[in-house]
Amino acid sequence: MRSSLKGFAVMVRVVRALIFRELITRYGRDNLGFLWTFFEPAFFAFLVTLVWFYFRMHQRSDFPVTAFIFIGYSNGLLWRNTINQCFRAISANQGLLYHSIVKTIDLVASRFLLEFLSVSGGAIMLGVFLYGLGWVSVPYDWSYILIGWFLMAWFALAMGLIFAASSVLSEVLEHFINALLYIFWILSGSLYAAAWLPPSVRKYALYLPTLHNAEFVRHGLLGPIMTYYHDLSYSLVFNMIATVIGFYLLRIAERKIEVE
Amino acid sequence: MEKFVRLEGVSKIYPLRGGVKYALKNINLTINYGDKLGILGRNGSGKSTLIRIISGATKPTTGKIIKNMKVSWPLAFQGGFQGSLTGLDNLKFICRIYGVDWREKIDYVKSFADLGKYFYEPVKTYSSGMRARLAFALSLAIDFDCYLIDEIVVVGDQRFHQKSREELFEKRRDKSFVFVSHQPSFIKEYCNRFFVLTEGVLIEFDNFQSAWDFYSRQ
Repeated sequence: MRSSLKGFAVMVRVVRALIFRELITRYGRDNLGFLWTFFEPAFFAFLVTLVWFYFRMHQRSDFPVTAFIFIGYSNGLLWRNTINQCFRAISANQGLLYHSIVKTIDLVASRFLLEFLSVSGGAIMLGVFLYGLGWVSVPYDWSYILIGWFLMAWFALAMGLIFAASSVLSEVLEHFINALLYIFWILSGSLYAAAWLPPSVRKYALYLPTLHNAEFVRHGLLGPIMTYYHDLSYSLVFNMIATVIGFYLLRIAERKIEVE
Repeated sequence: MEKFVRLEGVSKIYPLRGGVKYALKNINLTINYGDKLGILGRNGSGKSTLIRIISGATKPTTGKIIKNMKVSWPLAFQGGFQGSLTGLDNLKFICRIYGVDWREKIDYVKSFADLGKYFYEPVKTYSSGMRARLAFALSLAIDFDCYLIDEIVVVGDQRFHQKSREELFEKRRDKSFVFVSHQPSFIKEYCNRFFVLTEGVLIEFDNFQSAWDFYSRQ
């Protein structure tokens, strides 16, 4: 790891260059391509919201299902997209590691930042749009939303480090990562509330930091319409430990990477 | 500050099925600013591994590297190209990571690589010669203290070849170079320190002739 201030300046430079490069390769050369960065996550969240809205619950109760799904889903996309991108970050950019100035951490950081910006931007646009339709009202408390959002972003970064390293260290992981992510997507807490679970199940569900983070953003958007279960210190400690593990694994992985 | 690169007890071990392979064994080497190292080695002697270790692309299994000067990536390396990026995009990327203004380099790279309009087209539309010229031009766009050259890549026609020699050996005469090759001509002509790398062991000789004698007797 680089330690000095100068090293940090170099990292900022490299990450910025990687983001520019990634934008061009991923979203094409035209300006509409750049807009897609924002529409892609918004589209997913919107689709699920619509399905939920029309086929399930809106006739049965005044529960703000659109807002509930919108905020939880967008929030969950932070970690899901980051893990997907970071898992491929090293293999897709291995040639760049020939430049000793480019470190594996830069590959992870640039992909994480790009996902953070695109998912956050998509969520803001979608939120404004749904507000315009009258399906989402003004948030009850912004600070809860921000806490939940940044906790989830940090979780995503830590997972990005771990999965980027794992892609190098494990040869079998790529065969079941999709299934793994899918299962975790359902369990994570983005699409259900802790209050809906029986206490005996909730006890275990609350080991998932993603549930705490999702409860934070829902609390902030929806307000006191139900009981929320979130513990800031649990999520923080989890993120810290996961980050340390991520850095450690990435260091081991760096020694194993062979550039052809 | 004194400019140098030093390798201290550097070894690189690759795991193999049923054992390990020592690609490099306990390399101790100091490259001072201005040194021109010629390293003779047969295929599989560890040449490329050594270059990758010095460039920082690969980490040694044991030992350490102290870098007190700016070391290039292996010259004319093409692995960093992304097909959908244009020549210009690649120039921008390289300049950005090394903190150089790409606008100042664009004319140089354009004329040196001699790509014409293709400079603004995706690299995947290039011929292999064009790719090689672009890679070489990009390597020269950034100013390094020490250039690493893995085999003398003969890129382009006679004219391009001549241009490349001028850029490297005349305009950058006071810089350091590390050549690894199995061909003696360049090493004899341009180097002032002579080595043979054999089965991962690096041996220095006083002059080209004794290095060459040792190398050809293997």
